[in-house]
Amino acid sequence: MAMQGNLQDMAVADLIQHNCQDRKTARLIIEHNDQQATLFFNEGSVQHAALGDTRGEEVIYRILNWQEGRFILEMGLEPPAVTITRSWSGLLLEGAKRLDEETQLSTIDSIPLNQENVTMATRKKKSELLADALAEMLADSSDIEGSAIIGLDGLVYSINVPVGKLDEGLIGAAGAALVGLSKRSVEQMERGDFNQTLVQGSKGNLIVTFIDDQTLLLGLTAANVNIGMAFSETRALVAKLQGIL
Amino acid sequence: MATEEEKKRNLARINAMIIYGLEKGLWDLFGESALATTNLIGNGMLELLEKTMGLEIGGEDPQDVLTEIGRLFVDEFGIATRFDIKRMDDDIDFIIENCVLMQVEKDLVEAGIKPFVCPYLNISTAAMRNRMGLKTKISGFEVNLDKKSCVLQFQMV
Repeated sequence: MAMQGNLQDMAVADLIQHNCQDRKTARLIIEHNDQQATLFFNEGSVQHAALGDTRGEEVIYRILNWQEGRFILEMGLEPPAVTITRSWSGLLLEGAKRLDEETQLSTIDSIPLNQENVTMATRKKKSELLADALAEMLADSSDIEGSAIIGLDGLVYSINVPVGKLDEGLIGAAGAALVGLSKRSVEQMERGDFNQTLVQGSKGNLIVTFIDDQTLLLGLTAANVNIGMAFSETRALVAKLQGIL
Repeated sequence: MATEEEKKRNLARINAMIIYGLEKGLWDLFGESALATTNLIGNGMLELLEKTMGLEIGGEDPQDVLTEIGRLFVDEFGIATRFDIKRMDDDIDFIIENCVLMQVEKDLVEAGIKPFVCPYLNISTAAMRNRMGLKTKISGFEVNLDKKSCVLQFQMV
C-alpha cells in the first residue's frame, strides 16, 4: 500500500514524527527539485536514510528544510541497512539546531523571506521536542508510568502523567523544591554529590533527579515496583534526555 | 523623633530588608530551586491585582500583557519611572528604570542570589505561564545601578 502527498501539505519533520509515533515499517521517498531522498522507518525510529552518495543522519539534516516537493510512503518495506541509531526526536532537535545556526550565520539582508518561513515551519520548540521524546520513552518503559521535565525555575517543559486534573504550576514548583531541598540536605550532611530523591506514597512513588544543572526529571511509579529497576529506568531516561537537552 | 520624610524612607528600608531576608532565607534552604517560587508568588500578586486594580490579562501577544503590567507599576503605583519591552523571536527583555527595589535586587545579586521576589518578574511570569499558557523560562535578571535599570529576560521554550 502506498500513500502520496505534497510537502506543502505535510512537512518533512511531520512525516518523520507521525511515522515514528505510529511505529510504522515503511519506505518514504521524498523528491525535491532534482534530488531524491529515501528514508526507512522501523520500530518507531528512522533506521536508514539515503540522498545521493550520503547515508545516515546527515540526510535528515539536509532535507528538513525542503518545503516543496512530493513524497511517496510505501508500507511494509523494511530497511536494507541500519545507518541511523539516534532517536527520531533527537534527529529533529539536532536538525532544528542546525537550521537555527544556519539562520544566525546569515546576515538578515541575505535571508530571503521564504527561507525564514522555511525555518519557522520546520522548527519545533524545545518543549515540544521534549514532550515528543518523553512520550516515546514512556511507551518503552515498564516501571516509570509517568514523568515530567521541570526547570529549576519551576517551568514545566513537558508532563506526561496518568493523573486527572493537576496544577502544572504547583507540580513544577514542588518538583524543583524537592530536588533543591534534597541537594541542600546532602551538601549540609556531607553526603557527597546529590543523585536522586525517592518519595514513597501508599499508591506509588516519586523519583526526582537532575537531567542537567538547570533541569530535572520527575518520574512516577506504581507502589509495587522493584525500586532498583525503577532507578535504573530513570537513569536510562535521563541519559536519553541529556542527548536532547 | 523621625520626620514624615524619614519615616517614609525607613518604611522603604524595612520593605527592602524583608525582601532581602526572605529571599536569602529561601535561597539558603532550597538553593537555585527557590526560583520555582517566582510563579507561585506571582499568582498571588496577580490575583490581588485583578481584584483590587482591575488588571485584565488579555490578548495572545506577551508583549501586550507585559506592557499593561509595566504601565500599571509606572503609572499607577509609581515604583519605577519608565519601562521598555524588547522582543527578538522567542526572547523578551523587560527593562525597568529607576525602580525603588533596584538596590535590594542588586544586593541580592552581589550575594550570589538570583532575585525571585520582584513584582514585575513575579506577575509577568504568572501571567505568561498561567493566564496565557506560554512555556516561559526566566533566562536572566540583570541589575545595572549606573544606568539605574533592571533587565528581566524571558525565553519562550
